[in-house]
Amino acid sequence: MSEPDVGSYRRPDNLAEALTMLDRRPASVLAGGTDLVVLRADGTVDRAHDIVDIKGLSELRGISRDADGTLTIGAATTLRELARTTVVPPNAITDGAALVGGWQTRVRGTIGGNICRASPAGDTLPGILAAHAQLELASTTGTRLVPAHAFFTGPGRTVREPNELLTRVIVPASRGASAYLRFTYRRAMDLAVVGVAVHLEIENGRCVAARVALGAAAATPVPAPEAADALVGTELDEPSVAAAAQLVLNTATPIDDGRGSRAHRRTVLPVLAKRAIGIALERAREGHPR
Amino acid sequence: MTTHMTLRVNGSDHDITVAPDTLLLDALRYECGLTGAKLGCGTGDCGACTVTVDGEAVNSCLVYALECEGHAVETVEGATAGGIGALVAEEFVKADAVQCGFCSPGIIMSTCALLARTEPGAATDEDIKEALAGNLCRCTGYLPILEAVRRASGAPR
Ligand SMILES: Cc1cc2nc3c(=O)[nH]c(=O)nc-3n(C[C@H](O)[C@H](O)[C@H](O)COP(=O)(O)OP(=O)(O)OC[C@H]3O[C@@H](n4cnc5c(N)ncnc54)[C@H](O)[C@@H]3O)c2cc1C
Ligand code: FES
Ligand code: FES
Repeated sequence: MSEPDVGSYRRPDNLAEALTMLDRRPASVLAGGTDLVVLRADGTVDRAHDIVDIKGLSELRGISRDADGTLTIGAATTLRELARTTVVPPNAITDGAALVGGWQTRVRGTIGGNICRASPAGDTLPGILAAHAQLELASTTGTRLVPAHAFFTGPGRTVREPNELLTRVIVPASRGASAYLRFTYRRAMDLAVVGVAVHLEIENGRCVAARVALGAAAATPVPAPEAADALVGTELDEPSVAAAAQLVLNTATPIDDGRGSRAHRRTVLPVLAKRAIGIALERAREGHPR
Repeated sequence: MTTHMTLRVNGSDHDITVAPDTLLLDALRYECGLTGAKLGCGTGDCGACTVTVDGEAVNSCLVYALECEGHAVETVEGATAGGIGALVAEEFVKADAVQCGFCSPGIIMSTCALLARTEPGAATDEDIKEALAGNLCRCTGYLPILEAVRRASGAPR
């Protein structure tokens, strides 16, 4: 009886070694494994690929903010660490991290895994889009930065090359506040039917900058610039917010699937957007910097 | 293609043979003879396979055995042999929080991890629900489980 080819399990000691492993043979990056173990078991990911376990690499862990306010999140930072960080106040990215799966999922799962899995429903993805985050990809030949909005190319697909490792998520400094909300049928252990992240900057009661991004509303997480632009210049009063929230539908191209119909998603999206704007506004007024 | 590894479970070293993608769950059940952790779904959804690795509750159906080399695994057999785990098990029995029992090892492990990170009596109902949201029970309706965890949490340690 011949066994199917299974790649070997490898645990690099440092980042350079990890990059060499990814370069030399077909390999899958293993972080928390909460997606990868299932994807390998069901054949979506080739079992013949080596498994390069990066979760222990100190270069990829931790959350820090430098003097100018830039936030850096290591790709192997767990969702649990991110959800409870005190380095930054609650924001769209940490909101998303706190919603993923159950306790066991967040203890193990990482932000890098969430991003590289590239599920349209990934809960940290709208937040990184709304934050204008940059994703740092490293390989043996160097590193490059990809803006979050240019990273995702389809469900489960990204611009990452097979020999590249996502190393860091870099969030530029901003004076704004943000929030992420999703709609699910159960409070936990459910995937977003739709999700909305909102980033707001306010000066003297007036919105001076806004960004909106949607999850599970298209083949990739997408920005909703028309909704965002409609917020700028307003005092974020109820009618302005309601009108802007409606405009998310100009970007949303949701599908019909088991989680919800297209019509249902289009009904829920503006409501969710309105609520997310409300939370971001509350946080901005509380003076949460970021 | 198999390799040898040392898996530290419940304080003892097990020298076992695994494939690169042997699940921790399977290593525990078939290599170590510890059948407390159960296979429910195999996809991280039910929590029946929950054990702790370095004190954190994880789904052993989503972890490869080789990932655990150099780490400390605890299963329901070890956790309930004494101390707070034994108390948790006792409260589960007293509160009728066990019916078919399939979910119980996983729920007890999630509970042990919760109690290890909270002070006696400090876990709120919200904390308990957050800690146990990844553990399904098809029998009890959860209220007796909630009650058992509350009591275990409140007990002196
Ligand atoms: C029960 C359950 C519930 C879930 N619920 C949710 C949910 O509510 N919301 C949600 O968004 N997700 C959910 N998920 C999916 C999953 O938990 C998340 O996507 C998680 O963030 C994945 O992280 P990980 O570290 O476990 O990734 P892994 O499984 O280790 O990796 C995922 C993918 O990314 C690649 N990868 C990982 N890290 C890197 C890196 N640094 N560089 C390059 N490639 C990398 C891997 O090769 C793989 O293809 C759920 C999963 C389970 C099992
Ligand atoms: S068997 Fe592991 S979560 Fe269901
Ligand atoms: S007691 Fe039967 S599943 Fe919980």
